Amino acid sequence: MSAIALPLLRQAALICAIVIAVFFLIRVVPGDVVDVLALEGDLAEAEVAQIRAELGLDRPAHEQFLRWLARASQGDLGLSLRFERPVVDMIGFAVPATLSLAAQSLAIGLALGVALATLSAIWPRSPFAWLVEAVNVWSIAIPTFCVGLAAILVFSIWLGWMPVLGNTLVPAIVIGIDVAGQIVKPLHEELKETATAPFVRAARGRGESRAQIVFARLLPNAAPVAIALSGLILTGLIGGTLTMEVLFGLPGLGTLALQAIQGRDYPVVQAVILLFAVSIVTVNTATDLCQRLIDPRLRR
Amino acid sequence: MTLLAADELTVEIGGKRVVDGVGFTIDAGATLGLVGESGSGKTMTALAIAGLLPPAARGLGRVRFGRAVLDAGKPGDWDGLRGARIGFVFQDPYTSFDPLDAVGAQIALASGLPAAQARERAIELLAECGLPNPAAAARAYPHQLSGGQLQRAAIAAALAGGPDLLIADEPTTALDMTVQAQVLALLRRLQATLGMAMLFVSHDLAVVGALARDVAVMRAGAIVERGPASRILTRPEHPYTRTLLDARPAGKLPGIEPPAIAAAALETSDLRYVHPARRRGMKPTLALDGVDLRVGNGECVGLVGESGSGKSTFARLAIGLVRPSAGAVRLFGNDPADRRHAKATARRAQMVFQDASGSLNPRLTVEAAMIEPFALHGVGTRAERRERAAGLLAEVGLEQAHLARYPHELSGGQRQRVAIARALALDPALLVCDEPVTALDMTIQAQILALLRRIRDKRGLSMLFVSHDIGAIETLADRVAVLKDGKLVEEGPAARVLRAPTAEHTRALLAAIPRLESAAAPAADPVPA
Repeated sequence: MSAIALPLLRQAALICAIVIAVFFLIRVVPGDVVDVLALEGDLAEAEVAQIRAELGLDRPAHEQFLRWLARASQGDLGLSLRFERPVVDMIGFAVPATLSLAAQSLAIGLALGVALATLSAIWPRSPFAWLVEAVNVWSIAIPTFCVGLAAILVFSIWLGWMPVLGNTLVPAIVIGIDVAGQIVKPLHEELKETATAPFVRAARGRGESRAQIVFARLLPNAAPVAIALSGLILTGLIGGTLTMEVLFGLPGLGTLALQAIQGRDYPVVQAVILLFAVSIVTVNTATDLCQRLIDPRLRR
Repeated sequence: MTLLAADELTVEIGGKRVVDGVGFTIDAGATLGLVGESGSGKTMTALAIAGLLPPAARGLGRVRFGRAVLDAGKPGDWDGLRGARIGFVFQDPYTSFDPLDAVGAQIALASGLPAAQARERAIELLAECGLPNPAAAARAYPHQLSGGQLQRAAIAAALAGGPDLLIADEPTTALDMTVQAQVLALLRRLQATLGMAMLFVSHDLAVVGALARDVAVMRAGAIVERGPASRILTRPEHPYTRTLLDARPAGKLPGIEPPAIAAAALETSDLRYVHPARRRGMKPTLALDGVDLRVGNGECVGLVGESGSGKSTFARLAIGLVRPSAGAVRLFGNDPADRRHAKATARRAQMVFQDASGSLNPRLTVEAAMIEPFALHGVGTRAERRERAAGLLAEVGLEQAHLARYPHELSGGQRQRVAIARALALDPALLVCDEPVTALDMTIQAQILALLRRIRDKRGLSMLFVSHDIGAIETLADRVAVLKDGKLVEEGPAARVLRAPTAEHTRALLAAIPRLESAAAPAADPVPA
């Protein structure tokens, strides 16, 4: 049990450290929300000072932090300084969009990557082996926003199959191919490597068929690679579907974070960072648990 | 009736012929032994007739199996035969099973039966192969079984399809001597009861002779001699076979017979020791967990392990300084912890500790310390004792002048020499050395090791040499045992364990040795000349 509890405790400490660091760092950056408003709305000196006082931004940073902490511990992440809406609502609105995009992308990427790697393991000299290379090079060489733009051009403008904005399937496919490219090559290598393991030769000696060896021996033994990569990719997707969100007009976390940082909307930035940190910790823990589930040697 | 016939069988790896036009036959129900040194091509021959050649190897020639004619260049020809009619047992049981899958499930898959029946059959097979708790073994994952258990399970898996031919490639080489004998006996029994043919591959003529009626001797990819085992083992015709026979260590008995019962200097069986809790609330710790180790007469056994592996505890138990929690220690047939034989035990076995200054009384001169054991055991007159002390000191390379010194006036190396001399005073037959050189400088270490070696050869001492330093073990030990977390993970001849370790932990220990090559470009020596 402590094998799970101890890392969790460490991760919790890490989250606290991140939240604290971000809280103070963002206040070190020159300019706050009032400056931004002043630039946009032409406020008088007196008004600036008054607004700052109303928002509590004139207090020392540590005092602001303690106040934020006191509220946050009760689930109140405050109001957005720019939009004067509860931060929790804003996050709650953005999370589903990002999560559904990330989940769809990962599902498409895993399906494509695992399928290609497996097929090329079964038929090493088939076009599948070539596709492994192609998808891998594709994801390294072509940024997703290029593919996204091309997809909009082809499917929305030329063919007119779908609206440009608010569509999640097309960006999910675009990111999915990128994800597949990141997964397929290491997985392919791992499968090839595992195929030379003595226990695989022993399994052949016991009469296991090619398919049995691929599905019962190679894939489970190579799975830890795919799981570790998926974990990394998923944490990346939760924070980093920004380009696709912007391109396809999806109101996700990436967009929210970008706007909050540009507008110096401290409570929103704080909340988004907190969410990212928690989700990374969650994904990491889930990854560990999956590895344990697969490998009996890790369960002790 | 001929079951298998290999004809002009050739295996090429990278353009080199490792098997060169080999032909042989195996009759149904018969056993052929294939003998040769490593590199003779015997394993490649075995793999080739099972269609298991590695991708880098190219097979040529034909193999007739029953009615099927198989092309050695097409492993696919063996699909449907492998596992079903040809079973294969590999050398290393630890890598014979998928680590992620239960052993029983892998055997069940090999049986080719429907799932429910297959599970039953796997347990039956495991029972047949002598696993004490077959149902539990079937549920176990490979890492939960010992080498001997795994090899039995591998044999069970090879039998799952009910093969006509069982190929066993050095199936006992990775196992301890006692387990080796059990596995060989099992193979012989199975072969007799199931009436299957067997190809038994080994580097050890005697092991092959114990199992096979016919023996083929391979050298450099070709069979140089073939005939009945009884003739080949006694009157070989080919000079190479004679060399193989002569190269066998004298006195070593064929593996199938019970191990030699030359009286052991030290023998432990299922030795367990639990360190009692030091303070309240602390858990007692299991220092030794079922250790079976034997130090033969005149043999030096090196006991390696990391700190905390239980090796020092073992040394203490060996000479009766502490009592085992369970299991038995036999020191020349007696219990060393039995107080009634305390003096006899002390005469037979002595210990050299790591810290020599701690084993010498600082208020006694070297001479007084040397005479102490004689006085305790009532040996000789005063003059004789002094004379013997001086003689012992000379034996360990010290001078008469050192007799009058106190321990603090000696160097670390000299103190350890005194400790060794005193351990030798009563002419023990067994010397237990617990990290005797660890506290010393490198050059002094080499001197002390050379000294121990010289004394051992001269006196024919049995020795238990405990160390974390594999280099030190290598210079002294005939056999090496590796302890990890209180369990023996590997045991065997020093040359085998240190060159071709089978246990992962041994490999890790060996890999941890600092090599000279890696220090080829040393940083400037910080020690001033």
